[in-house]
Amino acid sequence: MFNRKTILTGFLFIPLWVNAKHVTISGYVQDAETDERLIGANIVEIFSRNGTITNNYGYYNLAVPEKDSAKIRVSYIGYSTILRTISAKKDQKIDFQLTPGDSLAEVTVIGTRTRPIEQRNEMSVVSVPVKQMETLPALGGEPDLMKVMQLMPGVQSGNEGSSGLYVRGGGPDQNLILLDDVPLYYVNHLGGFVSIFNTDAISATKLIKGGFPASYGGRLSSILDVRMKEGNMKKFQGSGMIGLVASKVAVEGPLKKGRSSYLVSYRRFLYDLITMPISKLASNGYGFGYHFYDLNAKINHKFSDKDRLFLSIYSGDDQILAKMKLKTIDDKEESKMSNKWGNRLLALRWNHLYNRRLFSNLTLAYTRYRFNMEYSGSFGGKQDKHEYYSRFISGIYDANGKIDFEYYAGRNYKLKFGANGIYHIFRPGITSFRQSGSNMAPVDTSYGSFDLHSLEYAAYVDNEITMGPRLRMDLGFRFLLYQVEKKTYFSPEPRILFNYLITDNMALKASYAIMQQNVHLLSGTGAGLPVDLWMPATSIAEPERSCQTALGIARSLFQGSVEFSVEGYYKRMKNLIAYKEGINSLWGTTNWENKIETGGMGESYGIEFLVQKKTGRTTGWIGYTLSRTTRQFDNINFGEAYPYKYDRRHDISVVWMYKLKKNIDLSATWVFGTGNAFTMAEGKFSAINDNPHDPPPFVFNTEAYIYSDRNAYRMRPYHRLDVGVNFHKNKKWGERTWNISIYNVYNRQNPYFYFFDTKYEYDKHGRIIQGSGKNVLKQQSLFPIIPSVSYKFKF
Amino acid sequence: MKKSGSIIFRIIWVIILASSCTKEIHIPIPPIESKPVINCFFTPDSIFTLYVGKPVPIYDDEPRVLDHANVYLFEEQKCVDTLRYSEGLYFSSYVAKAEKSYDVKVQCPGFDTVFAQDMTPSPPEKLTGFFRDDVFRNEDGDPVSQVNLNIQDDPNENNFYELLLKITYRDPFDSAWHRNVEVGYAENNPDPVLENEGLIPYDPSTILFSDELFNGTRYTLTINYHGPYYVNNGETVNYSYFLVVFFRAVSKEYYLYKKQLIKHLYNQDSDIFDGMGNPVQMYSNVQGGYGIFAGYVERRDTIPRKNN
Repeated sequence: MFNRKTILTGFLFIPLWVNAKHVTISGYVQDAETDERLIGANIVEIFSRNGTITNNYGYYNLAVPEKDSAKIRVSYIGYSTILRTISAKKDQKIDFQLTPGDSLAEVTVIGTRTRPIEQRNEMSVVSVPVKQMETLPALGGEPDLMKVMQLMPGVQSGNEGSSGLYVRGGGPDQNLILLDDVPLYYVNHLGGFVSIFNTDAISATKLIKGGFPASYGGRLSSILDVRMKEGNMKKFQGSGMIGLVASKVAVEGPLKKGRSSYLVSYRRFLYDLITMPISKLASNGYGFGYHFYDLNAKINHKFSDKDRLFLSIYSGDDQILAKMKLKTIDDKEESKMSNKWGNRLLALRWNHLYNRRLFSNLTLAYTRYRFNMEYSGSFGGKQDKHEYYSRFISGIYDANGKIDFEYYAGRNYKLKFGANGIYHIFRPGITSFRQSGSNMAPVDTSYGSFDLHSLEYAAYVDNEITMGPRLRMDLGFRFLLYQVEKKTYFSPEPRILFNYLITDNMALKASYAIMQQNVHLLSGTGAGLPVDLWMPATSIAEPERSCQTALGIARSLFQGSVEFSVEGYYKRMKNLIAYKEGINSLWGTTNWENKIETGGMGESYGIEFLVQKKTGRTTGWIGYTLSRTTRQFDNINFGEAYPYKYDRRHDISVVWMYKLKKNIDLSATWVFGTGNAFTMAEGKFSAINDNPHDPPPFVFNTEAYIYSDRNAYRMRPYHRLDVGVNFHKNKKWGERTWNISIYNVYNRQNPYFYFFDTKYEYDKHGRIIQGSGKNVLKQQSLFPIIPSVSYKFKF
Repeated sequence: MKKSGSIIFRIIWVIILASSCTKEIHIPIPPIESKPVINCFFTPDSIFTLYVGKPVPIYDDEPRVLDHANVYLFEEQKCVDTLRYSEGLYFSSYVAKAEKSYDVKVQCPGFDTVFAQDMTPSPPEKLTGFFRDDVFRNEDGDPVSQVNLNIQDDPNENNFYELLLKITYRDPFDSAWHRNVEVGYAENNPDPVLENEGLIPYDPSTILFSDELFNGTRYTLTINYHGPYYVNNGETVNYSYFLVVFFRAVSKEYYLYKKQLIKHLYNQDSDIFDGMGNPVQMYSNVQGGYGIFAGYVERRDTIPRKNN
């Protein structure tokens, strides 16, 4: 009989068998023009049909039968396929260089695609190449990673224009957003209409909605893994764009050819350069402006074939700035108000290849999100000058250390294991105030909530096992330990994924995952000043947990050019938080735990369909989701479960891309979704609202509403068509692209929110008829049809 | 400062909204359950003034007052009066007494009979304390005033209170008197009792609180507010004023109703900045109906200034 220890050991470390009749080839797959390593490139041995994909650092290890020769095919979207015959008598290291090829070539080049979906040992994973993102129409002409992800089944967008991701019934705080392996907390600009990800600096993205590998953890609903470009190792090159939303420029090149490279990319919203001087002129010295920026930088250095170092930097902020300057003969008055919020990230990573079978990556990182408001000024003459300064700051600061190993044991087994530690400092909100001047006592004070510290440790092991020609498994286990306020929480998190090939091109997939989240997000419900306040899980607001099960079928059609998948999922969440009834935001963060409901439950289930055409002149996908998501809190809706605000019964997205000519591509997206849930006032009555000192008889004309159950009503359905066209042209100095996009082509007035208004009747003189006022419901829409144009260049 | 940032962000939004639009829509709503509405706050030494009405569908504006109801008043479960209708309200000739229990029964054709019950609480003790001006500057640089009020709480029962600060001052520029002007409460009010109630963010016109954190003790309540001031040669100068506190001991029903009402009214409006809001259902102690029937006792005290 097996005892528990044996079973656990067996589960964690499946016997490391190595088939003696196989040899391994290993190495890196790189872009031939830039030496950029390609993530997720497909390597297949044609005769045996053994295959693998490169890891997040472009490394692969493939077992092939030992014989005189083997035929290796290496492919990646947007690149010409390599077909090479090699000797397969002994283990060897081979680096492959893929040459970029335009998508038209993909029609004729066999296999210029990713590994077939049924063979990929993953489920609930979506990935869109950056080149495709740049082809799609975008609001204001600015391609946006988050908005492209919203076009995938199981992913909702929340409100119109928002970059938030609502994955399988989860909230935007339940997504772990990684930039070069490091979590980012705030991913929006412009109140959520633009994400912080500048496509010029991105090489690959992947969104995981379920079936989470054990190497990931810390959020309930999804992992968005974004990788920055490494920089061209061979030659200097650059790109840029002038658009309506933002303009940007990126340069990259070798620091030492073939050994080290750099990438610097900068994007900025430019309107404040216009509004600041104009408003100063128009309002007698008072100027204001808003802008955002993103700075991405990366340096990578190859010490040897076995060691590589990456330094990644990201800095981004939104800023509102107002300045006032008045001067008279005697007096001078100046004031400045600045609100800034954004992330900063610094990550140092070291790849090391111990031998062909063992690969590791060490990450040391610092990341910070902070919301900062400053107000300063002075007034008075030389003799009686007064100065003042006030600052409010809230934020989260993380020091992060992580080590990941990949051990390629053989044809049938790959082991991943590692550990992660994060030290969080949460600063809920501190205000400092100083003032000084003649005839007054100086003031220098600070007040607010104290910093909170927490520690998060995790260790994981992930076994990728192939059993026979048809069954692949990923058996993983993650153990999380979280310490806060002298209390420790443990979280054992099993992760299981099965991929069974029913036929040669169809697979049955199933997954199970438990996740824990040790941070809570409190943000406003509307589009006011976009403040995200991150708080630690505490003994009152305990860590959130989820358990997700998914079952699906995936198959390739038409020789792999079309992929089809159906997935059903069921997810339960607990320890969720929500604002208490009547609270919309958390200004003044003292006692924040008193302002929220804790211990909430969430339930989400649905079925997702995705048909995706990946090659040919026409590419794109059609996604459909049928789902239901609820929340339940003891003190909301009388304790009854109610629909989540972004519960969307039906969600459809159609994405179409067409290569009309070599230099012209067209694209269109159409989305449809059930309207957001909301609580409707169904009736009204007169209420009493006197104040002390109001003499009787009291006033009874306060209007009170009788509301429906929470979120019992639906707004009108949301739908929208966007189209875009790109005109490319080669120039002496490089390539330029004109992009013309039209957002909301048929000018659909989609609901943003509803409100009540009074409608009057008028007499023939245009005067209001007394007593004719009638309550009517109105819909506020946000974006009408918006054409935009942008100009891009590459050299 | 927070407000300034918010205002600028709102200006940006207004620009966006200028290009967007609104349209009237109609969502079918099921008929609402027709239940009588009763509204009455009563206090010792005053007659009962009661409103009886009905709810109406949200889109309609039909008359709401029920003028043909039979309204019976009970003191300590004994019927003491039948209220008469006049100009939209029902009036008793009976005067409420301190620390007595009252019931009201309302019968109206076409509606179920409804009941409500409450009592007049014990009168509050006299308030003592003092106020100071320019105690600190808020994030906008404005001076904030502070009043410290000593409250003696009765240990034998759970008590609930409501107070309102009003000032009377003479404008130094035009010599005009401004009497009983309500003050605004500062956003930063660190008093644990006020924090615990959590009502300040809803811009309440009164301060409502319970003795949950100081039951049976003498507690000094600290309230930060915006007193009147002007700027002279770059210096802020507070007006000279009288501070009067209207202080009520209220019943639990009164407290629950008012607390919910403050949140309810704050969240009635939807806008682009706060979205659809976070609707709050109204509290009622009317069995089978809507509204409130609750008692209170009020006193007023003038609080002296203490110089900084």
